[in-house]
Amino acid sequence: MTNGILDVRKVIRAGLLAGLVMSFTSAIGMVEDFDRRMIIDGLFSLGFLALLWYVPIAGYKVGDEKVLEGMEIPPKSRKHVLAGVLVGLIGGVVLLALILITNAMDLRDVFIRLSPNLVALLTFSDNPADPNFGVGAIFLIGMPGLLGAVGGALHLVSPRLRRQIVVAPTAIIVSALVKDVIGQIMRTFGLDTVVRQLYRNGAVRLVPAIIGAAIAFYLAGRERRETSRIREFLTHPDPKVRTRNSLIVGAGSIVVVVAAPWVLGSLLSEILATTGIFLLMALGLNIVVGFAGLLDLGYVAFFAVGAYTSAVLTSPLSPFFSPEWPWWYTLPVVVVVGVFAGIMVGTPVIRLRGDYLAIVTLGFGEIVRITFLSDAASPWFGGAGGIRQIPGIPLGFDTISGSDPEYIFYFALALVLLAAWVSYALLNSRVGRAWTAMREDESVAEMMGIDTVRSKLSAFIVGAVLAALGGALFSAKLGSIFPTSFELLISIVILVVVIVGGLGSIVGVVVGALVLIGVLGGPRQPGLLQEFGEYKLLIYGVILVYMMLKRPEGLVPRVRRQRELHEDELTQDDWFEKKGELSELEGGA
Amino acid sequence: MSSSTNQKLSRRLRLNWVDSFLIGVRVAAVVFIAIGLVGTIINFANGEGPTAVAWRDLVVGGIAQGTMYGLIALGYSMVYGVLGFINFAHGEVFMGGAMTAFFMASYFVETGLWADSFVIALILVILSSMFASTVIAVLVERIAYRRLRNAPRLIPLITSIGVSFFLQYSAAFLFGISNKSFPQPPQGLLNKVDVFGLGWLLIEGTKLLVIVISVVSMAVLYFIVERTKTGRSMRAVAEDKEIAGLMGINVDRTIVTTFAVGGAMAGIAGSMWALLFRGVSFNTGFLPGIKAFTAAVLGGVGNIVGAMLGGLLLGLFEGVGPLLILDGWGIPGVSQLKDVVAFAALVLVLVFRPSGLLGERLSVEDRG
Amino acid sequence: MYTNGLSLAFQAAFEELGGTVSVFTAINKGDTDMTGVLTEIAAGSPDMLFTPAFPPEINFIAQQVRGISGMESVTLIGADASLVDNFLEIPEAEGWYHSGPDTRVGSNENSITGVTGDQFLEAYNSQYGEAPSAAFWAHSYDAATMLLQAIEDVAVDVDGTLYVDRQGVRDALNSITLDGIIGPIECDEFGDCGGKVITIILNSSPNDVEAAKMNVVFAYEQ
Repeated sequence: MTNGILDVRKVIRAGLLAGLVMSFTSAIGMVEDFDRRMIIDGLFSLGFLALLWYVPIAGYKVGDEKVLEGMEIPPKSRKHVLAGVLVGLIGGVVLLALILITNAMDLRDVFIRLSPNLVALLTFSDNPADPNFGVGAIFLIGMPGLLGAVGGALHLVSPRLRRQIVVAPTAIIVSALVKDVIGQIMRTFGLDTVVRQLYRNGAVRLVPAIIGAAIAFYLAGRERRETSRIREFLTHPDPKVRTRNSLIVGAGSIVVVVAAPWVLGSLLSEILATTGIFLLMALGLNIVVGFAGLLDLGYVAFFAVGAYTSAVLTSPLSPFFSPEWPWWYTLPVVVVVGVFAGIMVGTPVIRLRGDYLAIVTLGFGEIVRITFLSDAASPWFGGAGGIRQIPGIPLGFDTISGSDPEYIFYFALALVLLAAWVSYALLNSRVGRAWTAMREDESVAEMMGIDTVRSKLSAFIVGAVLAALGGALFSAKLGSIFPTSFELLISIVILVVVIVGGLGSIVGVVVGALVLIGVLGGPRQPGLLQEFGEYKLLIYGVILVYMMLKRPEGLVPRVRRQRELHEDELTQDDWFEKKGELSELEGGA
Repeated sequence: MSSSTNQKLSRRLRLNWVDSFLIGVRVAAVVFIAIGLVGTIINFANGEGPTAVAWRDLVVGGIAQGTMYGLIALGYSMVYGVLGFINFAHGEVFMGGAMTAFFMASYFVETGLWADSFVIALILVILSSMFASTVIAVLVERIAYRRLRNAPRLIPLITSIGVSFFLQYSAAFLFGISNKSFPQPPQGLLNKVDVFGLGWLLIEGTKLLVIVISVVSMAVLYFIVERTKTGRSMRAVAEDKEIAGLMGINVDRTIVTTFAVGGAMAGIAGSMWALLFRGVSFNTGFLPGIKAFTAAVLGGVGNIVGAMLGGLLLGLFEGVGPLLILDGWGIPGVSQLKDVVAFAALVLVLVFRPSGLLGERLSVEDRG
Repeated sequence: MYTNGLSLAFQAAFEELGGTVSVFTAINKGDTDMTGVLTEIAAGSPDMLFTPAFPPEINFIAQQVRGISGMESVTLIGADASLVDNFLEIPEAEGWYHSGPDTRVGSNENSITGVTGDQFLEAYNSQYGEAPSAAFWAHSYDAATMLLQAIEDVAVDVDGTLYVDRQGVRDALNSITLDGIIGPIECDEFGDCGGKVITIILNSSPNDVEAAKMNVVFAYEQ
């Protein structure tokens, strides 16, 4: 779109894509299911958010232009708004077409969610049998058109205003989605009445929403932002001040983390505990995949081995081992078994190339699961019935089990800290450097004298032991374990966490676990956003593809990797930023 | 000086340790299989265990299953040969074909074509499955993989995992999670057919049909790849993308063709699967996808004949293996361990012969 | 694991009544080719096969069992997992026996909500486009209404915040009596509630699933 000429084809394509996204979201039933949860009380539901989220983005992106070095950035004009409107309108027309077709024919033999209820919902009709198409049509086309215009108009404003316009509604949406956390924290501090003023029926009330949006708007506009303040705080030039600041931040974090389960209540502590166990496994896998570059798709096998070892040794019902050991005694055995498992899995795959290693480890993972499940092995492992009546962790005054998620969280935290310390220590040791060399080019590493066999095996062993310890905690938490808990899906979810968080980056993995497991929920565990529960794996797929295409180094990357992956973009981005600043100074012509 | 000799010695010793471990695995495998075989033969001689007729059915079933694995494996093999990564989403391409087969067949049942003219209905079903799978494969390449052509190999692999999830659960939410029942073929097909008029080689009609169609498809594919110009371009691009481009081949278009052809084969496999097992659901593609890649590796990845052979062998191992080998050991509940046999076969092949049975064919960038 | 328990229970009861179990084996979820396991079973020359498997595995079993030599005339019995439309309507399901909860509940009305079984099925179908995928749907519905009723009885609303006493809910549940879709419901101190009728149906009409579900050949009341 140069200088006022509308690229019609681009607009039409963008509009059709927006329409497709909206139709897809409706056809999978997300709009209908999410409609039960309101974002702004009485006004705006999560369902409509799910329906319309892409339209403003599409309206904005249609005005994006690839600017090469040396080109003049074309000025932004009203054409951008027009393009945005058209994108929205086209999308709306597509959606309207879908609704009309759904109303005319019963497509439920193929698309089971295209029901009269959906038509009624999208046309605001009261009676599914008699949908109102006048008002409905106006909404279905008008709303996307309006949102598209907003998206396009974002081009016309300064970057600062743009940021403000985006942040304000996002802040309200987020505060509505995390109302459980905010509400729980406030309740712990006795601020019950405040909660009732802010929220009603699970949504943010209108007045607080407007006020909140205004506050967010203002905060987003400030030049000096909080994150830069924190960064300054931590990188103060004077080393003594810096150490003191780091200690303060460190101590503060410890207080927050330790107090968290009590402030957040037992439901959220449960989520935290599960997230902690997954985080432990993610850190272990991070060592195998991120540090040593070995794509292990059967990681859940180590978890299973640790869980079953601990279960068999502690449970009175275990088929062949009668003594019942306290949980603590099983830990050394679990570690030994973990080492053994790491060697057993690692040795055959030492010589294999990356992808083959992936599929063989996947095979091992399945072999382990099926063995635990099989009738043949049930004299040892209980078969499909698993092992039950696993006692918790004895602590003298009490036994910690799954009904004490706060304490399980502390155990998970302890293991996570252990894993993080091990990761950090290994990363900066000879083994770690050997891994980096191996990752870059294995044959060269061999020639330089690095024993790849030992390095690879070490990675497997450390990863296996960490996962096994997680398994031991898992069986104590759950009280009974079944082979179905150790499916391939878990290996893949943990891999996704590591990748999305940042391969090889410890902080990244923590962030990834919090976002993916804590917020979205693990394979069989609910997260914060419980509505997303069903659609979680679909969303995982989308996130994964998007991350790989746009930001393969993960959310918090290892610095070196980011440079590796974005070499060509970096120079261009630098140039772009400078140009952008110039045009802002000139008043955004 | 002495320390470097020590190093060399210790490295050699360590390598020898890994090597001896692997030798141990090989010996253990051979002994295990041998004892199992002996046990089964003894059982058979005593009149215990499956009858000869039962064995025949197991072998036939394994071959039918194997040809389908082979068709799917072709897609994995070709994509790996050209682009160097495992396309996890290929299992869902197969599932898409199977789903389409279900919808088309149900439609034909409703309109009566299924009962009136089964042959035409079946041909249309197969064609529509091929079409659907091809479309899915090509779209996936365009949207998810094209931009990642030059990325480190891990990235497209992980992207394909994401695509696989997305496709699986889209199908689950769009079409429902319940198992879809594919209509029964006409009664004649369900009976056993006396092939070659020998009197003992009785194969169920549907299985025979599946085997024949699959084998024919594989032959057609082989012909396309080895004898036509398109096939030559595919082989050239698989060998070395850069040089092929310099020779005037449109690399992008050829890669799309590779995906399309692999997708078409998976589509045929999908309709065959639906016909044979008469059940399709959103996760129908998951496990067969993994096993098909196993088959591709078994035969030698990048190698078309290898993929077909690998599929056939894997199907046989899986169908016959548990009863042939494990039962001889007296292990109860042997059929549950079918997948263990399949994956164990993969591990053993990679230990005994890492480049697969017929040797792998990778592009210049991915070798070594 | 559910099916494992049922199989073990069946084995125990069968042997107690004097029968012999010739083969006890298992399949995995996701298996499609049943030739191996059916051959294994055929090697034991059975008269009858009891399989509490779920669809789609039981669909595959039904479709493949008659093709295995030795299994041509074996009596086939499924459990409640297969008491669903998905399985009952396939042609190969003809002649199968199923043990499960009494499904003749269409006209029963839940005394808490006033909804009958048929009404519930209709509403479910219009919302989700398919029939409920498990045989215990009526039990789920009744249980949900009981739980909600118990919560309603016990909860205290203080200025818009709802306080629910967990022990109170448990006690309330134990003392609720109602007429559910599954019949009269009354809970004992272990939480075992009504629905004490198990029926055996014979599927003679896969093309009319409703009639098939009504074809009760034996009813067992505790």
